[in-house]
Amino acid sequence: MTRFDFKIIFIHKQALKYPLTARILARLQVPTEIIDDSLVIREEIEKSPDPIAAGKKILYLAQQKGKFIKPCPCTPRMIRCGYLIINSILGCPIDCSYCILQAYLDDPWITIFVDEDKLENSLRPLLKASLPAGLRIGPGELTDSLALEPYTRQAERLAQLFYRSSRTILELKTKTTNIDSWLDWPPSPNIVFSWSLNAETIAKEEEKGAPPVGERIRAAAQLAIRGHQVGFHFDPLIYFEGWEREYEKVIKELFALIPSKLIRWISLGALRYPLNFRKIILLRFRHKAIFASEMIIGRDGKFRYFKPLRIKLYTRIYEMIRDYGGENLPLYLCMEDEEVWELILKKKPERRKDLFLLFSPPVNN
Amino acid sequence: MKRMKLLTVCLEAINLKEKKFCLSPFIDYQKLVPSIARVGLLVPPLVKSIDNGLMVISGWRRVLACYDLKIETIPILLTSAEATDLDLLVQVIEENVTTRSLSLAEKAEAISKLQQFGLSEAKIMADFFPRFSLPQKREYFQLLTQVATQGSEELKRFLHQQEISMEALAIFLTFPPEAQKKLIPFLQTLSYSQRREIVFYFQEIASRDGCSVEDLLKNKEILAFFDHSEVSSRSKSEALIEWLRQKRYPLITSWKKEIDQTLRELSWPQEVHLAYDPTFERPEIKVCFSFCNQAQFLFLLDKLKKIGERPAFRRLFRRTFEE
Repeated sequence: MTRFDFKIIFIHKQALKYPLTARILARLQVPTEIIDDSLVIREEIEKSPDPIAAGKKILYLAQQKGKFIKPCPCTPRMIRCGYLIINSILGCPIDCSYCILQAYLDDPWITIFVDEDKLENSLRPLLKASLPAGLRIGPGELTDSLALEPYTRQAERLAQLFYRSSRTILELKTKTTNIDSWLDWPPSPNIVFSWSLNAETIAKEEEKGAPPVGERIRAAAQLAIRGHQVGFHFDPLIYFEGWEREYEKVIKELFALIPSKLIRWISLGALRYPLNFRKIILLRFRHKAIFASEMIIGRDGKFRYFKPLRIKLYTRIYEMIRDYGGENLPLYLCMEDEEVWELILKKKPERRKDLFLLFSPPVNN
Repeated sequence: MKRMKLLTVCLEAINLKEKKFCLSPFIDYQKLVPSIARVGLLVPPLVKSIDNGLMVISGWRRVLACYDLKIETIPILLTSAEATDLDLLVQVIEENVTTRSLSLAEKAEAISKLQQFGLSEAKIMADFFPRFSLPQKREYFQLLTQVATQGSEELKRFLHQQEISMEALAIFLTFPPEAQKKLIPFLQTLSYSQRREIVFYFQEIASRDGCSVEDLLKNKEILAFFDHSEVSSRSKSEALIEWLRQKRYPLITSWKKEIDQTLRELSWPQEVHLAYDPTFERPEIKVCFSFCNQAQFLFLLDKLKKIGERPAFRRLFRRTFEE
């Protein structure tokens, strides 16, 4: 079980009436403060020498004033996978150096939107049978889907909705080992638990607060052997001295514990970040070698590895996955262009439908 | 407003060692000398009475120019004895920011003194950062306080004379003082964007290679840039930037060199402009040429066709390391 420490919970006065607020407060014994404006948190946090690190210790319970469901913005000029994002929690207690949320989110603290009924009403249209199979949705773009699960049980509630959904897939993307409560659940083809994996050195140096990669794989294996759907994301792939050896070790370990036929998909994505993320590097990670690699500003305006370097990374990781995991495992690239898709995967999706097909439940389900 | 008195005082009564309110690390008063020589001192400096004489609050350039001209008495504005140090500092700042732009070194000094005289960080950022055209960011406050309290004389002088981006300054301050001292002469000859570039290259190469900036400065190739006395400072600095750029981006540099080499090998016609994506993200290559008649057009096409059939031409389309 991966637990996190929190220093304080701020509760917007309008959030007091919701059952989720009560559930969180019952499970987390930390000081609370009722506020009517999040400016109070900002003032508090700006006293800290590292507001982003300080924000990871602060929970803010509030109502969602905007939309709970949004399409993943992906990135311009790259192949999109049509992912839908659930905006139920913003921010993450894990402090990954490369995490673009540090620049993407306005607030450094973790906001939990507690109006679950509104969330469920927003999700209902996505449970329709008329939607294309393989449409994926999840909260894992703006938070770790399971990091706060011991306190919120929000993922469980989402899973209950999607459990019998005919086509849409709920993806619970995590770096944690918070799977205990799922062990007794019967598996569903519509619920996929997925883990971000990386080389052990990267996990150790760059993913502060996340469990070691081996523990993540073992957690995934526990669910996979019970018939649950699991996926993996080698994202961000990072070019560093010894990368080939270290990634091979992880891939070998992954397939030693989980046969490829139990894996729903694997994605690959090389390190990338938007221009405004530079300010985070300067403030927090200026001495980290991973940000001093040979990068260019890509067509989407993001810093990316020099393309031949990306192709080298993808080619080797692809070969390793095929060597250890076989030819049939669905693989896709995250935020890459057509040229890279064709060079690595020898195909490119012509339409979104082609990608949805890749994510659709296996036929034997 | 506490009342001030207009007096004429003996210049020798001014204690020039007392620099409590001086914001500039380097007072350039030479341009003022001929002006005062011609028409005299038009605006009296602001002065405070202290135990051992008078202390300049504002008007350092005027006072030093008068000393240079050996003027014996000058008019001064004597501040009220009730005025606090903070009141006086605010007057100095106001007098300066309304007539000229303060240098980064002066802003740093002003911020540090405001804090020293009792103003809180939040108050300084709220009230004075807009006056200094600085974004109200805490990291800028810390950075400039560091310049004022820990910066070397060379650094302060450099920041008084030249502009540098705050991001580059933040990185530059992490370099050891000796490294700063060695690099300042290079930075002085470069443009604003080149200064940023050079500082970032040093920091990023050191981070990537797991060494310190000091170690990097001991590199034989870099030392050669310090020794070339026959070359102008600007040329040396530009050569150093180019060298750093190649070190920072070895792969991209080598790919570009290979394209240049291939074009030379193919005797690429000068009149045909070839453009490729300098980031190598896009595989497309564009050519552009002008012609005045059919014969010229066909001649160039024929030339290009022959080039296109040569095996070396394929090297222009290399996309992976394996090709």
